[in-house]
Amino acid sequence: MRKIGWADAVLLLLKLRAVLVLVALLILFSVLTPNFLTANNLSILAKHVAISALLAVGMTFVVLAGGIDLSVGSVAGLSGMVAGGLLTVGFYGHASGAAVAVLIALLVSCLVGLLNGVMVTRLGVAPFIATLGTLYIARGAALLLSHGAAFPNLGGSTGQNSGFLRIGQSFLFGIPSPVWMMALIAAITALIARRTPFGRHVYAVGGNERAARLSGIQVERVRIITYVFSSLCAGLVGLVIASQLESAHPATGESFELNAIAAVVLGGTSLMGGRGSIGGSLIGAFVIGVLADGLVMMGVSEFWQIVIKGVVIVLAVTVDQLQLRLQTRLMPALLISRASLGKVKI
Amino acid sequence: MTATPQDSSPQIVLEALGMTKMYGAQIALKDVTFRVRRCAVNVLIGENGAGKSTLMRLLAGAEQASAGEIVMDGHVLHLRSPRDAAAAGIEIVHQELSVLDNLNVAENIFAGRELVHAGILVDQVNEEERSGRALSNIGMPMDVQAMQFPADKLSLGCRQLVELARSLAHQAKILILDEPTSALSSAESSVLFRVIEDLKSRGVAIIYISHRLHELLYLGDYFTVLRDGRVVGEGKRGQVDRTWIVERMSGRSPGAAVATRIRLQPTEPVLEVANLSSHQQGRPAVNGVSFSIGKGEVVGIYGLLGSGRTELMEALAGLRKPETGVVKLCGNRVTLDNVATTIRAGITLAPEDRQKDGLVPDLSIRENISLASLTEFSRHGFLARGDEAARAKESAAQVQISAFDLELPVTTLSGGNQQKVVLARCLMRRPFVLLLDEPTRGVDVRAKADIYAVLRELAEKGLSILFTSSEMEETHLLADRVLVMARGSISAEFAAAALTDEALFAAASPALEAQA
Repeated sequence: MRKIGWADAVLLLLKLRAVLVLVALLILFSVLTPNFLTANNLSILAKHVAISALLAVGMTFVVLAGGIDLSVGSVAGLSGMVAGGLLTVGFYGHASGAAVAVLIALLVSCLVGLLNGVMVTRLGVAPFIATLGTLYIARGAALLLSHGAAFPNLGGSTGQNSGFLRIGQSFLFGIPSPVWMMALIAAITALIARRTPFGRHVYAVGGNERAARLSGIQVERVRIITYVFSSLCAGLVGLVIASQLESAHPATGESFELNAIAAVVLGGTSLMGGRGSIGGSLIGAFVIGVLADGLVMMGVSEFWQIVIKGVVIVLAVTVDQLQLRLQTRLMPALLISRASLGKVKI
Repeated sequence: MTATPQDSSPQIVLEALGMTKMYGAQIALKDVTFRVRRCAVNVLIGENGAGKSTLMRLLAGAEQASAGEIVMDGHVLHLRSPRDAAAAGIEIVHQELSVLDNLNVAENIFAGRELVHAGILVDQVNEEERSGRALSNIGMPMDVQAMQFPADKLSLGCRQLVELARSLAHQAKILILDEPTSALSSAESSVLFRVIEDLKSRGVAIIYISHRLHELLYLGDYFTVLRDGRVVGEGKRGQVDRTWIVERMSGRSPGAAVATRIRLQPTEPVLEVANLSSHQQGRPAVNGVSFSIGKGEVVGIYGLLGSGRTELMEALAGLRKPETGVVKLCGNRVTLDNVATTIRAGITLAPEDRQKDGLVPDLSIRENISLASLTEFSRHGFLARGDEAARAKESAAQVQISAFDLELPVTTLSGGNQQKVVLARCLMRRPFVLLLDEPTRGVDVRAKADIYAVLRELAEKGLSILFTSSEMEETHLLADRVLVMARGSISAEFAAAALTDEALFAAASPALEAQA
């Protein structure tokens, strides 16, 4: 039998705190509201969470590399509008098919990410400012595409774009497609973060840029890729939402960036860069989603919901600091317990 | 230790008695007694790590002694903060300039002690007037308009003088100058020396720290030598000469050659550098440097701070693009565009400051070691973690890292082991040339010996090593051949057998020839 030292146990509990909070919330809400644990509700919940989780996953790479991306909400809006415009109006009266619309919308999203990355790395603009700029630019562009109006009826009067509607509305084994999308992308990104040289480079760049550069890591390239990936995820979110609503609204995605950052922070990723994980952000997104849904079902006022969300975020970061301090304090005990297990030699 | 006869004479303004300072279990200062005399330049000498800076931090109130007391004019001082020291009239001008680039001259001089109207608004007129007086006192009259410029518009020398003026505007009784000339040109230095003479005549006690021997002998009235945290010599002007100082600093008689390495036979050149120049803020930091290193040869670059040694290393590592110069590796020309290409070519650098440039604190020891070699462990785009762990373990053993577990954060290691981690990372790339900038800065004696042994073994196996050092002993122990840098150029070259401390010092202090 494997013994675990008490110091290990304390740290493990602290590390798993986001999971514990999530489990506690699930139990709490299923006790307090009878309809919470129904398949129907969980399916709705998962669909909500999938959207903020997708954004959070993209955001995590940016934050791990020491940046921030405020433009994701606007990019989601722009992506939906580009696709909507192509499907309904198109170029010079020739409406595009679903595949072309999706590809071009994602391409436009990536271009915004590229712009973010180039501004941050080559022009030396602070990430906060660069992405604040593209937040406005992308939102403005989305509004310009339709002079502020929405593109309705994306399915087409004859149902010729039913493929586009499948993006956000189809099911596989009873699970909605956005949830599959989130699971797949989260799994791939987690693998990239943990198991590829690129993932390690992201951590190194965020942890100590100068040391990363001296190790031959191409810091600028790593940073640019993180911004492009974040925008790609945002573009996908825009398509999912447009597909679900069957119409594209220029205001889609407003303040989504804040939810994404909140999920990343709740998941234990340091805004200073270099520390955190994709899995953490996923759990963070679930905590926020479950909290919001549960509170609605309990009939808590909308205004109190906002206050509670703020309190949870602040608490999470406070506990994060506590864990770091505790980790340093417990390190000697940790070493001794490892040594007694024979895992390391002194 | 030689006690000076006039220990109790009234001209002593400050005595630091029995100062001891421990960092954890490490002793930085042991029972050091240091006397500061009024109207005199009190010189403090010692190699890096001898305890000079620690002693000065205690006097400036930046740190508190573990034991000992500071007596000023017959009263015991309790310096709990730099503010306390300033109140007692002790001012320090740091080696790294602490001028705030974004503020103007007057704002700099009163930074942190602003003059105010009615406790609220800054009294700009008064600040500017007093700044003007302080500046003209040190021979740098500046009109009110020039004082509006932010400090980053001033030359390094001017900024040094502004820093000096800052100390003087607050009526310093004791002025500590830590390596004040390391960034100055010789013209700027001579202005500073005139100011020092003038201050001396006005009753200020000056504590002067420098590695530049000719400066010390020219300026100094009283000399105190530190070695390994202890006072190993005290003397007055007239009793002290170069030999006296060098002997006490290094703990050897200067004539004795200490080369412990057997000189290798000349081998085919691996790294050839021709006419390399690199500029820093418009000044040539490296100026037409040419040399070559053979296979398995260990070449040391000895130079004082500001001699261009770090800039040379950075240029060779691809961190700064040189203006001119050709670098050949094994006969093939290498372009020094960026670090990634130089690493691929086979040159790796272990930087001087491992906290700032070397380690990623959030990553484990293993991840820090393998950071530069990740593509080697890449299988179909994924890291082969078994391979990585095995190679990291191998590299850790090669440089004798003593760690509980390579999965622990790198921050759990001691300074010496952290340095070995940086070394292991460089070696994992299997370079042809290893560049080491101050390979043992802030490393304890045992780890130092380990690192020397590792480097020597690597050289035996054919690795070419170029290292910089500001320690004479290290240069002696490690190098087959020594290049001395001064003001951006190579001023001398010695074979290890022919190397003496005397000659090293003379070559590293370029102004000496100008004076002689």
